[in-house]
Amino acid sequence: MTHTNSTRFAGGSGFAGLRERFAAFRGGIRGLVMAALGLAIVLLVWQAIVRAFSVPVYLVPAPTDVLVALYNDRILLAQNAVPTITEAALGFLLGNIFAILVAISFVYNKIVEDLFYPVAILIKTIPIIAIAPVLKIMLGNGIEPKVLIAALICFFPTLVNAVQGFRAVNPQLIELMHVLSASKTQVFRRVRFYAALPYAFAALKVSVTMCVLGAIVGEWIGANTGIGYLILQSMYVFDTPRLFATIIVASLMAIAGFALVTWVESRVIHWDPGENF
Amino acid sequence: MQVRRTILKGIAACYAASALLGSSAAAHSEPLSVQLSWLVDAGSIGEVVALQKGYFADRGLDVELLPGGPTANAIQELLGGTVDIAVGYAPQIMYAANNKLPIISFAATFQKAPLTFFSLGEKNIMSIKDWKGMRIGSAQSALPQVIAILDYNGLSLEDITFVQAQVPALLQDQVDVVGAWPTNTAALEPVTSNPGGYNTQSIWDNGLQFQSNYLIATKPTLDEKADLLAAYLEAVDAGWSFAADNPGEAIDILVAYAPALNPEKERAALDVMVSEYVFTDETMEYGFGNVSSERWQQTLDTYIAIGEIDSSMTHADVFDSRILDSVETTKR
Repeated sequence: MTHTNSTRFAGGSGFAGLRERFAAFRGGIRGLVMAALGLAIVLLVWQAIVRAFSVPVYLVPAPTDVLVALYNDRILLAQNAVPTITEAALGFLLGNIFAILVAISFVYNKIVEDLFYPVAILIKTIPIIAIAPVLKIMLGNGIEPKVLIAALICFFPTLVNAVQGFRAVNPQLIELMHVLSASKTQVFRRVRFYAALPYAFAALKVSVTMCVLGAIVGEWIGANTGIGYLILQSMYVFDTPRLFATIIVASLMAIAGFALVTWVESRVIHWDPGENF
Repeated sequence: MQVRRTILKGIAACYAASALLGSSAAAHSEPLSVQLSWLVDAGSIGEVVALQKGYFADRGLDVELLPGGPTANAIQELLGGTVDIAVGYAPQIMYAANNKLPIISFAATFQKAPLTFFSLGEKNIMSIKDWKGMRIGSAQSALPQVIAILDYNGLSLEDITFVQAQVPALLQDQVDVVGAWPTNTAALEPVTSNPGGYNTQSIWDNGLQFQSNYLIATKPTLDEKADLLAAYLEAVDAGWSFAADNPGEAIDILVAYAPALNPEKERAALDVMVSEYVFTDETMEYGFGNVSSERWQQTLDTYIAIGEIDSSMTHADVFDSRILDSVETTKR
């Protein structure tokens, strides 16, 4: 509360607000620099160990070997990133949209929740790697099983968080809406939806990194292209520099997804969720 | 991807042109989907060449090649009806037939199963008998083969320590012996270039004379689509023969189809495959894809002896010679 007040005052003076923003910006830069420094230290130690103990390249490549592979295979890596990004993105959309729809039905209908929440938990407990070949047999060899596996991985975290979010409403607010004789739809659109957003975004940040994993697992059951395929092919011939380069590309995809969701979140949620309305 | 698309477009254009010129392309082609045993690489070069050079299309087949992977189950795909033909290994066929699943092999691309056990020269492991007390590594799926060759040499699983392992484990001295395919020259490079040399024991020389990369179909498919299977076999034969005659060009076709492959590594693997496994003395006599019923029977007997399969199994449960009998394959 005090925080909001102080900003309000600061906003009045204008200059102080700017200074605060600049401080935040500098803080962000500092965070980035420190992260880069930490990573650099890890890479240096890695390089030193690999060189000092002359670790054979088929076991662990030195960071410089990986860098060379990243450069040499850049076109191959980019070409194979496209199908994986497509699968992951479609899986992300499918899994999350479905999860939110299911969450809404749970919040409004207790019977549906009692019936299907256990099923949702059951789906979560299925080892993806075991179910993947079955999905391939059911859905064929195209993009479908890969998208579905990515969607399956995304589904549960979003479902749980969205259900919790839709319920995390200040009861007084609901009462107020009742007094104002708001319809169920209005309560949902004006109260529950906003209450759920912070929860949903927390879940989306988890699932956006998971869906890349899902797409890769999907590609392991049979693909001619994609990051998953490249990982397998590189492992099979013990091309470890390319293997590590491929893993880096997979990580970059997940990081990019995470950054994108965080950015969208910062655009959508412009209030302090901690305030609880 | 781009390259592949361009090639496909090129092929499509050629076909359109030849159709315009009046050459009789098949009025309608039969779709046939094929589950490969592994990712596309030199081991499936015959199939890829047949696809890209139009050998399938010439025979009225519209073939789709599906790559395998560590978790793809070819037999399940066959039984589920997603594919018409699967490329698989002898143990898969044997265990499926043992469970009374209606699948059967009708040809084999590899005349010899390549699985071979490698050890470093320093260990002085000259035969399976020397395995006593050693740590033996291989994929978990090869354990029955390990048991069978131990049994053939008067040893048992109790005499060794079995470890699930790959080639690097051998170089790290985590195992004394490791099973691998000699065709995977890239992965074996550190072993074959070991200064102290290396020793090998193949399953082929130790009582397990089965073949590999069998073509498998369900029994109903074999009965009802025998002509399609025969046409497929002919086209694959043409593909492998082309690869044997023009290895350089075949590798170009392969790498254009699957750009992640390294042409030099695949070429090395292809040379070993062609000379040691695909075209042998037996194909010189009986032709490409030949399957020996006697060999199957011996292998079954070995597995019956170690209690892995039902004692009533015969070669007729795992191999049907009708397709091979109906086709004249390349003798070389």
